[in-house]
Amino acid sequence: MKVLLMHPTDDFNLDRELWPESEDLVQDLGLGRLFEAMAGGDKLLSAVAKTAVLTPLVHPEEIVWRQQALADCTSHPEFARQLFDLATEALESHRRQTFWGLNQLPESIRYTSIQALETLLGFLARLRHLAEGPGQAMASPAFVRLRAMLISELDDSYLKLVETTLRELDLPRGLVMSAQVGRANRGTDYRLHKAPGRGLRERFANRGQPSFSFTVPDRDEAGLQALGELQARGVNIAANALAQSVEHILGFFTSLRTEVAFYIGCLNLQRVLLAKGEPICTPVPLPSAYPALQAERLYDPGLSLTLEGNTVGNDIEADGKTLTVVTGANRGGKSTFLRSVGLAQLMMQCGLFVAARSFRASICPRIFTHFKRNEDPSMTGGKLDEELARMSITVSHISPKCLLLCNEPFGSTNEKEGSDLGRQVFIPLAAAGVKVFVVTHLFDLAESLYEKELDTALFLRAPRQAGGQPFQLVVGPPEATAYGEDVYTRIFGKPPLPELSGRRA
Amino acid sequence: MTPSILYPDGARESPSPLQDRQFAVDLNLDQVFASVCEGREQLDLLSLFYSPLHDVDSVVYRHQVIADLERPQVLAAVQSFGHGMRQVRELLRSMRSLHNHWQQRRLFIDAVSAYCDAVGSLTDKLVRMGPASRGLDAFTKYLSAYRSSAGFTSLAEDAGVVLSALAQIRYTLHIKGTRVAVSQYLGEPDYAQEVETIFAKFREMPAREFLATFRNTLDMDPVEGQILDRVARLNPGPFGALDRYFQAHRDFFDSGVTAFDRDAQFYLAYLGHIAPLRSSGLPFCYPHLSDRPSSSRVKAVFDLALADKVNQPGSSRPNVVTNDLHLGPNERIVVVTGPNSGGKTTFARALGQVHYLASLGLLVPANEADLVLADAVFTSFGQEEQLGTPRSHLEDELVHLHEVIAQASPRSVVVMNESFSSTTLRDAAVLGRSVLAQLLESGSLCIYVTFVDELAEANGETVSMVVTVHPEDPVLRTYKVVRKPPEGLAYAAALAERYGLTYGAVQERVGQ
Repeated sequence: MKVLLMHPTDDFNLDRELWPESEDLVQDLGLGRLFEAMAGGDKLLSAVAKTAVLTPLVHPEEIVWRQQALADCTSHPEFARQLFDLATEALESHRRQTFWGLNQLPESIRYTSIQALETLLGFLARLRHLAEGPGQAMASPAFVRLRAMLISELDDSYLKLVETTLRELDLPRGLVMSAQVGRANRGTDYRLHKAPGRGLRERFANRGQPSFSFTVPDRDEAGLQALGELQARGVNIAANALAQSVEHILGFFTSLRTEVAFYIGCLNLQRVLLAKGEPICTPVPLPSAYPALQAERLYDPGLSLTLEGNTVGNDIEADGKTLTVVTGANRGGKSTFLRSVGLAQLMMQCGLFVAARSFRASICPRIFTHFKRNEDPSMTGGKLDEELARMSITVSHISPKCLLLCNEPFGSTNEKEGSDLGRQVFIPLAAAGVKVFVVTHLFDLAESLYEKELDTALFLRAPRQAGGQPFQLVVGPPEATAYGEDVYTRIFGKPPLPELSGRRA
Repeated sequence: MTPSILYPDGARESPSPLQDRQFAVDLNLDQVFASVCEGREQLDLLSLFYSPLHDVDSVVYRHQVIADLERPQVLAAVQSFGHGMRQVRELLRSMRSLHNHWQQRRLFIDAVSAYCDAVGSLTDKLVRMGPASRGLDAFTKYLSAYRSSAGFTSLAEDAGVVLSALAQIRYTLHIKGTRVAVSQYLGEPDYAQEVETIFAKFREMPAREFLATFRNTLDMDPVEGQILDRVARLNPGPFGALDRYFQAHRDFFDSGVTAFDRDAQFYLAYLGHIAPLRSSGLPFCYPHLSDRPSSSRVKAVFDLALADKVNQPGSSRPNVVTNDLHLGPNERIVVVTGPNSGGKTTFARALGQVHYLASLGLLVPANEADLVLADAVFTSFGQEEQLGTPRSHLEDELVHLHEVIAQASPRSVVVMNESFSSTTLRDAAVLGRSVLAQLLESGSLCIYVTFVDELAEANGETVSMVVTVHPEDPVLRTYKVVRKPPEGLAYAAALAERYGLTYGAVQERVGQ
């Protein structure tokens, strides 16, 4: 029985290994704030949010599966909550009640498992009732499937069968087992069997089978111990099957809780943003074959969460573009824009809504960031060494259709070298179909890319600020100044000295 | 008469093994042989390694057997026979340690059955492969006859019948309280499977195991014993047959087969031992032997004991240096000089090993070898210096050399290492020259490792060989031994450097 609330064919694996670039993504895109808002203080919700966001889905239909389930939860948040609470209660009550010791004997494993299964059986029944009743309201394929499965798999006759079996496995009429003559004539392949319905004597008399018996004297300690071991051999495999069944049912409840937790996290984030009056939208995932990106009022939800007021956001129209170069004024919102692109892509590909008025984009198999880092703490190499090493790792992982977000790349050397490195790296990546976003102060780099007049390149500029009010990025050729004078002037209260030689162009 | 694969003519020549094994200790062959025989202690193989052969035909006889065993299929066949026989012996040993009557009988028939399998499979394989050696060919004929004998046929077939009847017995136990009832199994369904089926719908991931593990030794506890006795009563047919089988086949071993088992292990042990060395690229060859002293030629010889050490599992590819020796018909004495720890002793040991291993009829650690079939390999390795008793040490050494010279023949090989190191340089020169003169008179082939350069003066019968050092850095060893006049102590300074004994180094060390 699979839960399949997050994927049409696979249960969500909370323990899956994340891509190696994940830690960079968390740091560079400020994902921590997002996870925090989704978690609302709950550790499990936080873990699910992190894994889900960082393991992007790559097929539109997978994304839509989650989008529809999320829409269901948005309309009926109380049902999601009830499912979550029931699963949590089942797991908690099991945890409180059952203790698997080390080296437990088969007899005690059998006993413990029967107890645990009886408890879980109650929760399975409650789950079915929940599906039958409030579950009716759910309309998304994911919830409809789950409901149908619970109703048919956990019907009354099944629950009754489990109950009867558990009672029989209590072995009220003694232990019946069989074995084969094996190595050195010792017994082997021990199996447990159902005890006959009537007394021993009757059973053998009826069957007309010879039977030889003996009794272990009460005071024969070695004999009693041997008898115990023999019983353990008989019960061993059945006890294992019982204990594994307990684990499997717990696994089901765990999956259920995990997958519902994802949607509860989505609802948490949604509530916060809506309360602020920020727009959110259901994004349109497009196949990755053609590079597409269109957004209205795309903003950084992480930033919004820390602001009193609202964000400005950007409109972008980048269909067919694989290279987007952003230049312009300091503090003009370039990095924020870069983050909002990365966040929107990740949120869309995990089935979340996107922080924008509208968003549609082609799917990226993986998403990479290349932001400035502090000086190499191990002192084994310089800053440029460190940066090139990182870029080299990224290049070894990246493939066409992936997204690469670069913030001030190769700024740790002079403009000429940095620009040259930039050209060496970005032109072939973009040509191969990697979606490259570059925020840069390297005018030489930006200008030389602009002069190539590529159809697949887009140039955005952060306009000069007036009164500290951030503006939207505008489409336009790179400029040789980042209006650093403005910042200087603001801080020093007077403008800097004029340039000596003519401004370079 | 059962044929032997160790000695020609079927006449099992059993020379009494050498009692004085100091030469093997000096050549480090004792370590090699111990390692070769490891795990086969029961067979007393070691005495075979101390029973050298005395005529060339006996050596060739073994070479032929080895050549057969070098065919992978033949080797595999004989190896698996060896494993089978070991299993037979282990089963019989276990049988004697058990108390339950039915268990003893069962292990007996298991042992016989393993024996029949081993014999049958070996016969089939040998007949199919057709060994070329005199030794294995004769044994194959013997084995074929034995295998088709009426006695062997019933031994094998009867065991199969009894065992398959036992394997079909399943019985039911009903335990209530302390009472155990044993009856025939009547096909009751397996409860564990029912449980698995009922809960199968929840199984999405592999779950951990909750299986207890139980004692898996052969012996039974008292409850199991009582059950087995009752199972036997429930199944008088198969268990009765088990009893009768034991009575009928108590002495089932064939002496020819057991002799082969042991003798084959002599070859297998050695081949198995050198296999990893060969696969790492070290050469082994069939030596060409003559029964009278003549010229000697050995190419790429190396110290087998050292190679074993270097080739321990986990260490990298062995970096074992090989050397050549080429002596004309009249050259009888090889004086080896050169820097300390440069490989002099290793070279001398290697030559001693090659001669001795050749006399066992085995492959030798070299690429090519033309040798005399030595009637004895003598050694004199100055024992570790024992402080305070230099006089008695020198005495011991001279007494031993006296005995060696008395016994040495033109077919003997004498390996001497740093003799007379417990006396002065002048004494060592004087004594050394005298001993060498006497050895020359005996006509033996002598390898003499010394720090006394003047003993290396070449004449028609004495050859000087020197351990070379790296031409640019005398501290680096090449471990190559070449024919040339002694080089004096030019490397002394380098050696002093290496051991921190230069003026500056000593001053510094003393100063701290």
